[in-house]
Amino acid sequence: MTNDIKKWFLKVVKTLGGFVVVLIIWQFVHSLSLLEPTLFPSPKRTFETLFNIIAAGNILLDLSVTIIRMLAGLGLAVIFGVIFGLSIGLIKPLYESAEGVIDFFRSIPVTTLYPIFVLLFGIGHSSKIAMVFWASFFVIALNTAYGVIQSTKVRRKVAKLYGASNIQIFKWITFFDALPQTLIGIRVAISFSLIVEILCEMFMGSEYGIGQRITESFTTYAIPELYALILLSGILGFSFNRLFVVFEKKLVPWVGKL
Amino acid sequence: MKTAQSIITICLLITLLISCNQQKKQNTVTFATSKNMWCGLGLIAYDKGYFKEEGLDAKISYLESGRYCLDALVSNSTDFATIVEVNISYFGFTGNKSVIDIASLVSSTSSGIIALKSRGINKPEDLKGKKLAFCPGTTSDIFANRFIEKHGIKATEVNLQKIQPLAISSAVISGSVDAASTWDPHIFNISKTLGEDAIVFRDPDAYTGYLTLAVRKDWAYANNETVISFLKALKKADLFAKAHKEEAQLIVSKMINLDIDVVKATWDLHNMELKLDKAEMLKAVNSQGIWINQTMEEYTDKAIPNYSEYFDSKFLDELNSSK
Repeated sequence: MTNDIKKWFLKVVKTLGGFVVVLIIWQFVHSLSLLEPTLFPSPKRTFETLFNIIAAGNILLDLSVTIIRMLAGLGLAVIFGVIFGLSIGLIKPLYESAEGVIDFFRSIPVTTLYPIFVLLFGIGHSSKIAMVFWASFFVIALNTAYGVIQSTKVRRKVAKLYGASNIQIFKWITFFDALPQTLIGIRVAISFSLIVEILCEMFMGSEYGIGQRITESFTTYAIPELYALILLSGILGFSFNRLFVVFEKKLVPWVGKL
Repeated sequence: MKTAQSIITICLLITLLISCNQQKKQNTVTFATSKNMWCGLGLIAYDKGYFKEEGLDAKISYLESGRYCLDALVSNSTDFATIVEVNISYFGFTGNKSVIDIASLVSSTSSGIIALKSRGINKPEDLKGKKLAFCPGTTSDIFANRFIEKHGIKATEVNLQKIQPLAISSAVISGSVDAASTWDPHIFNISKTLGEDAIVFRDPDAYTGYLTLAVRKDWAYANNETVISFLKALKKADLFAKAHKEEAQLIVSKMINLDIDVVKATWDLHNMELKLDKAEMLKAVNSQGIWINQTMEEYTDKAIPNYSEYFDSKFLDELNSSK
């Protein structure tokens, strides 16, 4: 029992240790006025402001708008990215002809394409969802395709010997072989999608959203709010990532064990 | 023990990096400004070599807006910065009094609302019920609010859309909004693209913007001669722009990489003159301070700053008396 508590305590220390170090450095920089205090609030002031923002409640609307748009773009990217990735992974000539095009388009920073997205989808939700989709689609599609390509040939051959049909092989072997790599793609896409959503709000503007609130705080010199909102967006990204890791472990429990 | 050593090493490295960043060479002045027509005088002074003539090695840093220039100044990353008066209106609320405006470089009436006639907008009153885009916290925000109020329209009677400057042109041209409160060259470029469908409402009485020259107070008082030399260079640019309008337009066009036709078409909306009318400036920032206090949640419980502490005509007076 004592050992369990010890282990648990060590795990907590290890997990929180990095955050504590960051907080110490932050406080150190602030206390010594290494950065202009007007433009760089203390951790205490920032956390107080964050608490006040959350307590006031109106941030919930901004949070929900950001999250909904992000999930809408990501969700579409998962659906189309996985289907497209599986298709090009299964059909080698298709993969060879699509690889260059995908690599080209995914190399273009999506934020530079905002004028096209605004022209095509206007300034409402659609353009932001479309940009999140664009940023996430390629990374999911490519990872899914890699997953299919890397899937074990031996298992497929054995299944064939036992008389499995192509659909059965795909459904029960190739898909599951490709799943871990697909999930890696989705995990990367989650980070991308939040970054792109917040950037879109900052670049293009939005009635509500964390990015919009960050830009407004910056423009209007509401500095503690600015840092509190940056912190909040970090917490949001971190939470999504952690949640997905838990989901990933449940979905592909065999990864790392075989 | 190792962790403690690592923390101390990281902290020392940060201290070292920051202090290195803040060291400057002598005889060199840094000048943070933006690539737009408002900043014309500084750009002309640089291009014509007036800073060098005054014994200054001016290093220009181009930043996106006055807001970034002010940050650069406050954080000791630059000696001089061009900022708009709205920046001071907001900055005053922080309580930081390290910055002073020592001159205004331009008064501009380039703000305006560009609207689509095809959406039934032919006069200001037609904006009622329409989708009007604006950039929160900027001159566009102030102009839009004052303009609609002047024409008897309440803010609640307009569908106000928050949008950032980068997306304004696309939003109006694509018809995502019916109108937008913005400034030149956006207005000129959008008008050119839309042709007959565009209508522009300008109103200098509703809002006139100012670009000012800001410095850190302690630095300026400790480097009086440098500041005077800098102002002398700007004065030369002022005289040059007045005497050689076309050449000045060409320089600005080249420096900010903006089509000469756009520069010529919008030149007269920018009254470039080195001066400091303290009463005029105070009137502008005070009224904005009141507006901020009344309309923005974060500032409703804060007192209106004493803006007179942010304007100092000492240097310009010295320059004028030294002639």
